[in-house]
Amino acid sequence: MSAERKFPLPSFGAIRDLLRRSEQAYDGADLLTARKFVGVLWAVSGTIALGLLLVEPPTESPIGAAGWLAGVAVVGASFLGARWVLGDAEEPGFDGLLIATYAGVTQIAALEWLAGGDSAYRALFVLWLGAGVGVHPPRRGVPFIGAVVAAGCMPLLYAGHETRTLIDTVTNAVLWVAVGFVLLALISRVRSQRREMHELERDALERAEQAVRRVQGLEAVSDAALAHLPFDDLLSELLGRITKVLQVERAAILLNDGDTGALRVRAAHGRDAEQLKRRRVPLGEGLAGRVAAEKRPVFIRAMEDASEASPLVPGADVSSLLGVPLLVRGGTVIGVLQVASSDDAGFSEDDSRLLQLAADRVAVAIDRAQLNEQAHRIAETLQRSLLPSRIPDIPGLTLATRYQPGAAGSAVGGDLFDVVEYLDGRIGLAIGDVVGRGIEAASLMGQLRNALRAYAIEGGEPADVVERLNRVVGHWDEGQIATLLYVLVDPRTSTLTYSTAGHLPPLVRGPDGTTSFLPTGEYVPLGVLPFGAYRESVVAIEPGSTLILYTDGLVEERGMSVEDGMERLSHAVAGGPEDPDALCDHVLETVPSDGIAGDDVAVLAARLDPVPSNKFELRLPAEPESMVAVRRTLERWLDAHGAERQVMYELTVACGEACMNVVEHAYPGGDAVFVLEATHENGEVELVIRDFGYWRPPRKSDRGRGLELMRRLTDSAKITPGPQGTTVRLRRGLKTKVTA
Amino acid sequence: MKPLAQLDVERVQDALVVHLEGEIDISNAAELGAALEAAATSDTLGIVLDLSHTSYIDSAGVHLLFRLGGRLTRRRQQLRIVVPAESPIKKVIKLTGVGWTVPHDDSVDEAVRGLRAEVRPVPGSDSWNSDPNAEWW
Repeated sequence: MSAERKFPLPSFGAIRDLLRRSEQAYDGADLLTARKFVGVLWAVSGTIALGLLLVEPPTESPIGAAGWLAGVAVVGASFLGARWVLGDAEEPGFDGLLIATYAGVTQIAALEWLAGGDSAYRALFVLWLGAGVGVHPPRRGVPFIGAVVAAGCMPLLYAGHETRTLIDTVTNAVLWVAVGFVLLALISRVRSQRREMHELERDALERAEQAVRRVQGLEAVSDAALAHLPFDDLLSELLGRITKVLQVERAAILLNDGDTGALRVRAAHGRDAEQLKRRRVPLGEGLAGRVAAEKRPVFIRAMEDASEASPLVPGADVSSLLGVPLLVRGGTVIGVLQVASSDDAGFSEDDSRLLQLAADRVAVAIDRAQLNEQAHRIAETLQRSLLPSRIPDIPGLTLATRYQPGAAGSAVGGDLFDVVEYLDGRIGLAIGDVVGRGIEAASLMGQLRNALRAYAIEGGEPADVVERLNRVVGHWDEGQIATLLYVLVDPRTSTLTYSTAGHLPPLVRGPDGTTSFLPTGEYVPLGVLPFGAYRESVVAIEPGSTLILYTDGLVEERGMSVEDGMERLSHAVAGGPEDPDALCDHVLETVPSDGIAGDDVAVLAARLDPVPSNKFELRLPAEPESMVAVRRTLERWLDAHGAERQVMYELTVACGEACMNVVEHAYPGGDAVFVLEATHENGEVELVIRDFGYWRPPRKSDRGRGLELMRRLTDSAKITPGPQGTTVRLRRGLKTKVTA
Repeated sequence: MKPLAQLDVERVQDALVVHLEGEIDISNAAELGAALEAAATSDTLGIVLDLSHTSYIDSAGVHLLFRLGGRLTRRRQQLRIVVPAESPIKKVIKLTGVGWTVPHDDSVDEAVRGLRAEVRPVPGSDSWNSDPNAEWW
């Protein structure tokens, strides 16, 4: 800083500046101090005037003795003026103070006049001169000086023109003008300095605020808590913070669209955000395209038509744009983060750095999320591939299963279920849950399912199967454990044989709608002990009952006890639909309290179909696979009606032969059906097999055997061919023995 | 679709013992027949088909037995079936006359003995079939 600036000499330029008309006439002035100054001056001036009244009695004016009265009135007005200026009632502004200084000068002139033009009052003129110049803006200070000089020269008008008086007055006037201008210069200097200081202060404050905003911005985009947000939430939260920190109206994240290389809006925030979703920007077009191509921030400020710069922003109220690339390892651009503002000023380097920081954060999150998504997909695919793709149709047992993966973002669990058909007609139902998540859990689940199938195919009893699976899990390296429930259903006798390894108890709903959990005893999960000593329980259930197997994801919820969940399940099943398929849906919708389970959920519902009463009808496609359904249904029905094993077999063979003839001669096309009607009355069973084609006489001796069997195994077998189809009617007493 | 039946093959001396568990009907008879025929390689005397754990057999299964018996006979092998007296399927075996062409026994041991006794042309001479290089005369 130069010496000149420190000690400025008044110059004409400076004086001209002083006199220049200014918008802010009082800029740099201190109203409060000025007010105090003027108020105190009034008081001081009044006090001195009071003293001068005694020294120079105000009787020499033309009004004579009345001068005393006028003098006292003027002094009183002084004090009133002081009170007015200092008091709280009015708080006069600069204009008020201006008038007050003129009034002060007028008052002194009046007192001087009352005293007959005595020079004692000149001291007071000097006092007011200082005050007036201090209070007025420089431009108005000049007329004030003039006013003071004029007031000081007044005695010349009424007190005569003595040479001495004339010389004194003129000398005074010159002195006052000089003093007035020096004061004026000084005060304006002080004022301009104060003005500069204010400006500096404002600048500093602004810079400090910017710094704070930047730090807050950094905090906002680098907040560690963001890391726990799901991917899409993270993006929108980051965009929200960026718009706030950079004070912009719009922000958007565009990601590379796989093969085409075009950019697609993945997240948007601010105005028009909804319209932007999923919009595409062709490769190389607009701001985003340039950013992606050049791999560096691109600024656009004060543009006229924003839509040209970026097809994403409606031109109307956007004039500045900033875009930064999303870079991942190896410097690959995976997208662009851009912000738009209606402010012409555009964006600073600071803004760009902050935005780049946010972009880096987004890039890392995207990288990680894509990896996670991939792992999640693999685990889910693995798990789905390990669950049975199709549930077998089993006569007498209606099955439905559901598997619902956990909420988005969570790892895949190891829920498993399976249905295994035994050669003797029993059906094994398994449900389990490998503790842990992800690919590890899913692969153990796969191992378990394979082992379960292997043991079940050998006809393993539940406790035996569970015990062997315990060894399978025990040999698994990872020290994992799993819960399992294995139920063997015998539709013929309506019994359940089951064994559990730490799994939640199965729920049974009777035909009357009452529900109860089956007692399972306390057995440890698989993999906990080398020998679990698993036992099995047997219960008989009524035909028409429904068995519900489920995993803990259905009934376990944060902040809720499992008992509550089981209670809700029991309630839902009791009031749920009859059909197992609909029941599964109902359970999944109503049991988790918010309708969405956080964990994986597997549910299996099996209804032991009610045994047909005295009569039942079965309608099946005419194909070899239907034979099993006929046998199972018939066996169960005959068993329920007290048929002995031998009778049951013989009737099944006879019926099978009749059905086989239909199947073998079914007309091509595959949509042929046949109907089996069974009736039991007074110990006699009648089976009627009807088809809708022509009965073919036996072609070869081999097939003649079927007809022969049908006749020999029943009391009577009648075949009635007809134009609409053939009817085979078989009758047999349940207690009678047919002769071999 | 689960298999209706399961074959369990074991070799008892020079006989092939096949335990058939499950059911034989029109849907699996052809398949079982092919599997059994393939199992009876030329170094065996024939097949002992154990039907003790077969819970269902109808005319399609009976047809399979006749056919398999005929095929093996032409190959100078023999089919013997095991149907215990208490088995429910015994009736169908009896009614259809399988027993006229396919010998049946009550137990696997009996059937194996029967097989060895019938196929071996010189009873008492163990060397006839046990030497793979032996000539046919």
